[in-house]
Amino acid sequence: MNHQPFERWLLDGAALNPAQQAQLQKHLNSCKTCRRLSCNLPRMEQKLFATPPAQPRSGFAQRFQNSLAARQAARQRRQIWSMIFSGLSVGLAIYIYQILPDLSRLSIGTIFSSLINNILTLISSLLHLGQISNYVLMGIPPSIPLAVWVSLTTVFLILSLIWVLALGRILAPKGEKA
Amino acid sequence: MKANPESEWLDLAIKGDDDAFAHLVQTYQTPVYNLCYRMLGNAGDAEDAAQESFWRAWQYLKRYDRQRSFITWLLSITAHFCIDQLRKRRLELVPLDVLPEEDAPDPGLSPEAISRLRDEQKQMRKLLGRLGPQDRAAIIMRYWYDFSEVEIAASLSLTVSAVKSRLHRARRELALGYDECYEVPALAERRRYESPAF
Repeated sequence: MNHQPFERWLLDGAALNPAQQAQLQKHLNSCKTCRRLSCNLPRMEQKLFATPPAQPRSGFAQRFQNSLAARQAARQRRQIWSMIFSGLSVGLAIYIYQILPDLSRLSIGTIFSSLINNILTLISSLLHLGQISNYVLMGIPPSIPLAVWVSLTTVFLILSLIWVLALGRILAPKGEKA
Repeated sequence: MKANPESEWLDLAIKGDDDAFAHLVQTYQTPVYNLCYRMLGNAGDAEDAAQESFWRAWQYLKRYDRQRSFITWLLSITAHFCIDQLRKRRLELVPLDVLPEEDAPDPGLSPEAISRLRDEQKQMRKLLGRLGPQDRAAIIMRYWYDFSEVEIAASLSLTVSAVKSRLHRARRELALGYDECYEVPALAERRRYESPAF
């Protein structure tokens, strides 16, 4: 049986003229599905409107506040790890780019020892960098705004990176180059 | 704190004041939790989802467009999270109406009232469980929050015509699943048998 447009009229709550109302009534007399729909729909809607909103257990906001600090700390940790991982990925990519021309002539052992050597150099450079930063931090008055700090640190980090790269190039095994 | 305290709390929260955000959580905990509860069907999952929704709101607060209603934006985050949860759950093949009941009844209610409440909750869960995630979200927003089709569309990232079609389909599904008047006699039959029904 074709239920249209009667089903649509019922479900969308369309305003019907007397002729349409008569048509609908005629259809309802012969169609069990639409009759069921027409009977259930207002009751179901009434039920939905009458159902009160579910309430959370008491202390919901406090539980959220308690978890907020932990979530913030976890997010910071994730950010730090992602920065470290990105830095290492960039470093590795630069290293691979550097050895790429000689890759066919270098043995795996040489590449590996060179990589370890570079990592150790990097770690020692960073440690020295940390010590230098400590001296600098002790010497600078705390009244300098955060934005200046961030800018100075960024410039310092970029210079350090360039320094480490240059150091890597200087320390690269020259005897193995053509 | 002046004419609209909510707006003031919102301003402070956007500037990074966690206490102001806690006020917003206090204010909106019921609508957010209710949406989660109606979507997911049990108290434990609803609590987790509501907490996660507020956390996401806290994270994205700087992106919140002040032209939009805050509750619409918040419920949009909640609805999207719940829809994702339901999709994951569907992959795990767990129907909504077989989830355990975990709701602790209000201790002030009589046993009869608790029993009636439980039956109603079960019936509601069964009804909403007939719907797909987006249809369910649209119905909840329509009937519990009195959202217009435009607001539902904005919250669920759908077009208005898609919302109309989803509401139409969902109403049909719910009405046919709501077995209050399973056998309704035709008007002609009723006249013949003088039935008081309908």
